[in-house]
Amino acid sequence: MEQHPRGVDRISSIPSVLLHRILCLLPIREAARTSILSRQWRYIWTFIPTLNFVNDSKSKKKRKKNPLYNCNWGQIIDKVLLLHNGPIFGFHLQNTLEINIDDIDQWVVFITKRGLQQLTIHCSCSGAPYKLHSSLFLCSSLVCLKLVLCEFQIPIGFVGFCSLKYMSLKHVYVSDEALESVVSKSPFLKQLVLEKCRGLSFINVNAPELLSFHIVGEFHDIKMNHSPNLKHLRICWDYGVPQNCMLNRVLKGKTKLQSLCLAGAYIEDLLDRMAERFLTTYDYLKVLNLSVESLCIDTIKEISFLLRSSPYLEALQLKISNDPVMECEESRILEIDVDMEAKYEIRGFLWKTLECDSITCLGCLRRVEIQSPFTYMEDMEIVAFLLQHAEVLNVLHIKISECENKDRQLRIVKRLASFPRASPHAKLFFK
Amino acid sequence: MSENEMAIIKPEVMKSFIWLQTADGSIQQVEEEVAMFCPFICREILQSGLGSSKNYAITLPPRVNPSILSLILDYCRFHQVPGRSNKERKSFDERFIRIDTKRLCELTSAADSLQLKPLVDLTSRALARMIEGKTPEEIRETFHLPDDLTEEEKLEPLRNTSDDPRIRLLNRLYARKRKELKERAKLKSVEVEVASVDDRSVDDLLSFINGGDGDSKGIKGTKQKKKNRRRKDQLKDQSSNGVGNHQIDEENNKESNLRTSSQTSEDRSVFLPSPGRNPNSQCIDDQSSLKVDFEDLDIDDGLDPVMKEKLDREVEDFARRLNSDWPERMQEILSSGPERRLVPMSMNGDASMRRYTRLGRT
Repeated sequence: MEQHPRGVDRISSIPSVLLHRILCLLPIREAARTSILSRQWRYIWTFIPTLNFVNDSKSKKKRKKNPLYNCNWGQIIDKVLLLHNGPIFGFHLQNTLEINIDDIDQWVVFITKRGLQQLTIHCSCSGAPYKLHSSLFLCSSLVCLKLVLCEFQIPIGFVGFCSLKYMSLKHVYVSDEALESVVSKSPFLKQLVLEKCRGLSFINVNAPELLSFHIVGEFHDIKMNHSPNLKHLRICWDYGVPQNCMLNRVLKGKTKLQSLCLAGAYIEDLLDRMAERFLTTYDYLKVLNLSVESLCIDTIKEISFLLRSSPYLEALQLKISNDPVMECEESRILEIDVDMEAKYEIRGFLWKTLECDSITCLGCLRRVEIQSPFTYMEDMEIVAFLLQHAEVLNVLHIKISECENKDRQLRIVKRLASFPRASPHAKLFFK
Repeated sequence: MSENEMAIIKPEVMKSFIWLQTADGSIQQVEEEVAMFCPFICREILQSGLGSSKNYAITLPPRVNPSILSLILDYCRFHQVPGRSNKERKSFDERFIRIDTKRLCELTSAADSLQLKPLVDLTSRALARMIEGKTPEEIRETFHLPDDLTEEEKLEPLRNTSDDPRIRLLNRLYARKRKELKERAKLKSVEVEVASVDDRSVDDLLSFINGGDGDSKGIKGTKQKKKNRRRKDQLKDQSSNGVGNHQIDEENNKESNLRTSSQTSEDRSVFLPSPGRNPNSQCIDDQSSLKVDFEDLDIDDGLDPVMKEKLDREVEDFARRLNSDWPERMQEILSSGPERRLVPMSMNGDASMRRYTRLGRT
């Protein structure tokens, strides 16, 4: 073999399996280009087990540079699959803008016979959603399924994905029944992501092995009674929390929860509506992330109950998006004037409303992030409360949102910094 | 673990070392907790009970040479310590892979043979970054790869895809052009033929001349005859030496086309068909200014009308560009007379195609 003028070939001594793995990290175009490097490299790329069809022909710069980037993406995929050798474990299709939707069916049929484990189909927003081909539902080797803008219809006789561990559906058309069916028939499902899916209203997730559940969108109710091992839960309501949704019902029995994130309009209503107090404690809950519109005394109470039932909480993130024009009593509006410090005193009502033992709940709290415009007293109150009772607090991040007035900001910062701190290591950071 | 427990366990932990032997025979001892970070070593210790003394050192895979081993142990030493933040680990990793390419490649192989997956991922990503977005020349330079493929071979992947619709489109366009050209040529030739097949007998001519108003026509006829003869003579000259030259020219031309197309081929993605490779698309390279927007030409005859309309527009556009070139060619072809006329036709069509396929096979 010809030698490079400057010495021995460096990379080709790497085992081919590793070379395949390296090429798997590249978009398919880059991987395929290696075939003209040298004789040894001619067919290496045809063995890569993961195909990343990242359509880079959209990049205008590249197009200008090389008119051949204006290519037909669908045909390239056809050709790559034709030239490909060996198993295909991963197939990632991004951007189907230039692809005939029907072509995807053929590829799905093809790859499901090659030991497919990871499938991503990311349809572009223009055009009709891709309706999943029924052959996919026979693919028992599937481990990871990510769909964006697809249509999810389960064929009759679907026996389930016996290897599926991760499923992410974003902007996918899926019915309650279809979701319930696919989840309950995938016994090893560990992670489920549902983002802005259409067609869902009463979600019933029946997955005994589920560890992580993340849902964003518009829906009426969530039922997940059989997931005792759930560790991470994130629920974001797009258009407000529906009337009949009960948080304690969702959280019931999820004693292994490690992180909880609740967000959405009227989330405080959800907290208020908790019919029964949390009787169970969440001993593993370490991260709590709440996004509320405003803090009123009732909401704070509920938050404190949440805090109390999670004695080992380490990080708390609180985002308050106070609407500046809210129909609340004048008295609650925080008066910020020159002699504010003199007038304003921590009333400590939190301290009073909570029983003494509730203070123990802050025993492990190390990190707090609060984002708020600090329009109302309660916002300050909670900062004061946390500073006063979190004994091992290390970091308190405060972001004063929607405040253009530098002077006012400064005064708020001054006031917040003056609160007494229980933890000697507590540091305040302002953004 | 409480402080007391630590105090009890610590001395033992401190004491225990693992003995490792690299392929060159050298043996060294390594702290157990560092060595145990490598799944390969860990398994050797637990399954075969090796490594506890110098005589029972663990033999490392051949790819792990002493200098790479020390690198790997550095990596393990850092990452086995619990409680490091992600940021710390990331910045360590970033610094860690700042080594020369040769060592990075060796490190990748060695880490793989020790089943140290996080390090394999790290180095693989680093290597992938060295390939991404680079020209083949740059990649060859980085890894000292030999440039041992012929230009023909580099173009081979392109040829695999000669069934591209764009090429089909071009072929169709050229076919149409050729047909048009033939028709036009036929028209011309008919005129010429009328003149050339002037084999009226002397008697006929005489009767023609003697006829009412035949004078001028007769003169014209002879003139044409003379012209014709002159043209035929020219033709003979051309066929004796001119045609040969012409062919050579064409060959040269094609070769240079091939060269230019192969030069640019490296910049193109290999699975993209290059128009330059297509037998009939020679003209594309002739007209370097030609830029056709090939986007979305997902044509199969009889596809949706929007597409077709777009296509037709493109073909027209193409034709317009081509036409700007055609008149000269027409002149060239036609001026060379009726016999000569057919030669360039086949040159443009079958002959060149034959030559291309022949080149392709060699």
